[in-house]
Amino acid sequence: MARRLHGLAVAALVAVALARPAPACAEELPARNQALLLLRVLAYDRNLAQRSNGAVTVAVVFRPGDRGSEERRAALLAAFEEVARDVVVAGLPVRVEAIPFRDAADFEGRLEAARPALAYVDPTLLKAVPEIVQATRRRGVLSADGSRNLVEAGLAIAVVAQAGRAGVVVNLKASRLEGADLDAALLAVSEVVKD
Amino acid sequence: MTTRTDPNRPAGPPRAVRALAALLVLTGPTPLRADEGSSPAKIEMGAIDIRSLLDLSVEAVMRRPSRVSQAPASVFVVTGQDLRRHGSRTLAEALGFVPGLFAYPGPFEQVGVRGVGILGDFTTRVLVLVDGHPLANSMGGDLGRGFPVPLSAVEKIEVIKGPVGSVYGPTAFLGVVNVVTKGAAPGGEAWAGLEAAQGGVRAGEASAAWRGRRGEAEGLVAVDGWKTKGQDWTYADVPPAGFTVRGQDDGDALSAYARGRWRDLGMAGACGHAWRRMPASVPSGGTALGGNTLGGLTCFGEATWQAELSDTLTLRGRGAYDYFQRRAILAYAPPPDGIGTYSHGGHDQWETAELRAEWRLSEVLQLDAGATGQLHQIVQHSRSDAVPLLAVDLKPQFGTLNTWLQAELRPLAALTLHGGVTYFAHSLFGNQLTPKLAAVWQPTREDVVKAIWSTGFRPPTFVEAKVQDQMLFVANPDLKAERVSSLELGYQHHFGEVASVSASLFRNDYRDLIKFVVVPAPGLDHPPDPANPADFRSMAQNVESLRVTGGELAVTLRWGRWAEGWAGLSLQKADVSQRANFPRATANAGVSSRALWSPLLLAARAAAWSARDKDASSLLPGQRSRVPAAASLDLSAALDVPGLTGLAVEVAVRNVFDASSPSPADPKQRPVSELPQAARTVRADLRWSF
Repeated sequence: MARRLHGLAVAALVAVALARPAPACAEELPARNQALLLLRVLAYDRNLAQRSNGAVTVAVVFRPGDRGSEERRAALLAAFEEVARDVVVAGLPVRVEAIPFRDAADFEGRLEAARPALAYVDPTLLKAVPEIVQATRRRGVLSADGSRNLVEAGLAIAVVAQAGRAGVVVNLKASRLEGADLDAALLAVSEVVKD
Repeated sequence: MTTRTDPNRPAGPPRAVRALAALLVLTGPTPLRADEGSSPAKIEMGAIDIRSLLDLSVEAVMRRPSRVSQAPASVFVVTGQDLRRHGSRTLAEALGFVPGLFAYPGPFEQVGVRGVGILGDFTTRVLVLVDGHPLANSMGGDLGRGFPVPLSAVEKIEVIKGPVGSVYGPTAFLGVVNVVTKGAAPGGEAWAGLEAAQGGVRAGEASAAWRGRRGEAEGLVAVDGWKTKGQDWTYADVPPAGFTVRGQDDGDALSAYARGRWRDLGMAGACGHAWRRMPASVPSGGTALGGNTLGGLTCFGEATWQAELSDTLTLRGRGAYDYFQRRAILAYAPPPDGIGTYSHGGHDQWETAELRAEWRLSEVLQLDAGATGQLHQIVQHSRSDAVPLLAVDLKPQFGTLNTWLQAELRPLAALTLHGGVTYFAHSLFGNQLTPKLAAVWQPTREDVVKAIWSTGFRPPTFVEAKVQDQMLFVANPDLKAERVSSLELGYQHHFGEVASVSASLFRNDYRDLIKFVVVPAPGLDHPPDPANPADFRSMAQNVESLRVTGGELAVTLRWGRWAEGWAGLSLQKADVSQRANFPRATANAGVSSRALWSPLLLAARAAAWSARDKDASSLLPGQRSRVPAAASLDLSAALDVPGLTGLAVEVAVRNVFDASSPSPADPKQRPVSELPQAARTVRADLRWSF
């Protein structure tokens, strides 16, 4: 009996080990929920007014040519635009635009032109996170995502699904480097990770 | 220095008004729209309580999403993460740690709600749903290994305490448990583990679940297999000095579940099979070692459809087929000392058609109406391989129709009124009208007050009213439906944004409760011998009415990685002096933390019950009349292996103190009058999430 169970356990482990790990999207919230929660998170930033230019601009950063990334970009743009019609953040209207990531120099140039308060980074850009956060930290843009993995890689904020409830993950050090000063009330309900 | 305005503390209209207006706009299916130029109509995000965005939503209360804090019922949600953190293996195990509930053993695992745990209930008074699909049937249900949905597929479990007859009709009598598999993002996991107890490896289990999405299609597949050698059981009340049954508790279970959705069409199906031997049958009058088994099969398939006819009107349809089978075999001595192998069981299969409409008449009034029809075909059989005269075969059919109307009215931003009524027609047991009224008042962002009057009923099951054999059951065609009326006043307060406390007072009036009573077998030619079970039968009767008054206090905590958990205490009193399996107090708690090291999750949960009376009819001379107060403590740890993304090692210890903690037994299990809980068990799992 014990040998059979042992064999069963080994077989199961071999099977999962052979399975190719998928991109880390197992904690993704619906786009509308992400949009609502991220805008609420922005309202906890005491430096938001300084990081905005008469409007709170949200940039959706995507990988051009990647079908999945472009689908997510479209869904997020629609969600942010829908929510933006009904809300303001710290008294400021919300604007939304998409920014492609081709290379670090091009990306930083687009950030400088758009001056977003928040950059939502597509999960397919995981390997480009070091270049992205260099730009967001220089330009004072809070970086965010819908996956915990990118926050562990250096982004500042993730809004994730945690088994039926939404959750906020904060990389406090990264958020400060990007110019945000997040209220303790947000940190109290968030999972704070170390960079 | 620049002047800052704190967006989290805005001036203007009352906070509650702003928060509720924001929720209406941001969470409603048809959001209010404001033109770009009409900024005064826009909502300040800083005015929205972030809890409302993090708040759990539940569907079971009103058959559509509502927030836990706003739902017109006493609701507790067990998340899938809670199941994993605490190493839950069965639905009954998870429910046993919900505030206000208590689990108790029997041939099937069962749960009691707010003190009421009827022995031999077979889960016919708690409605169990899978994504809204009811599993209730005329024979019972299985909250244990026979549950057809693997827990690895479960996103959350919604628990409603109190009757919800105005929504679901029958069976939602003590409460409702909705097992939700929808809502998770794509991904998968697989795990395998072993269980050790009483000095050896006793069981093994493997499970896998996968969720995927492509374009407008999404799907979920989950499978779970379990096999056990069981444990040795000692029945302290059975002479001589505790009757021990060794090696008679083996069993296995297999369950599989699949769900798919494309646009507005959905499909789901599940099958769960469980089989085990019944050690408690061994000391009960002549049954032989090794031959007593209990097996079952629960399957369902359903197709759902919805159409948004306009911005305010949505139609939903559902068609389903369900099959529930149960079979028990008791190995008595061969003639002339006994009747040989005796089997009894049967199945209930039924088809369901449902149509409902949600109609948002205005921003302050929403209606929900629908009808569900079912056609049941039952087969019930009993037979002895040695005594053909004992054979019984019944094949009845019956139909039910449940129609309902619910209304939700918001006369004020801080006040929501709920009304509902169900008209239920049963072709065998008549008709029932079941109303409900409730008010939810949120005077401030931190406070919610709920006042609820709800009712419920439960018609006799076919087994209770109609089944008669020559061995176990006597029919009772005069049974009436059970009824319950519940009054509850609840209050919830949030402390900051990390903790909340809720308190409620309740009074539940149960009338014409049905339970199986041991009666002398009909046609005996001698006085019934109390020591001879063959001289007795089980007969369902409307035994009593019962008023339960009590209060419940619960605390929840969500403090990032530092601590997450809950604790609850429920105190209740019955208006009868001796009520079997009625604990006057139940306490439950669970807590988990990643404070020591982020990859390491530590968790503990505990449940305790006050002393409970046994069923007086089950007692033999010398047996104690009640079981003492008892408790159970589980500890667990899970380590996300550093450097190996997705791999986790989990260890859990159930019943840490190896406490016997007996529960009263169903009178049908005489001479066993109390059943111990399982011995201390260590579980070790390896899990891969991908």
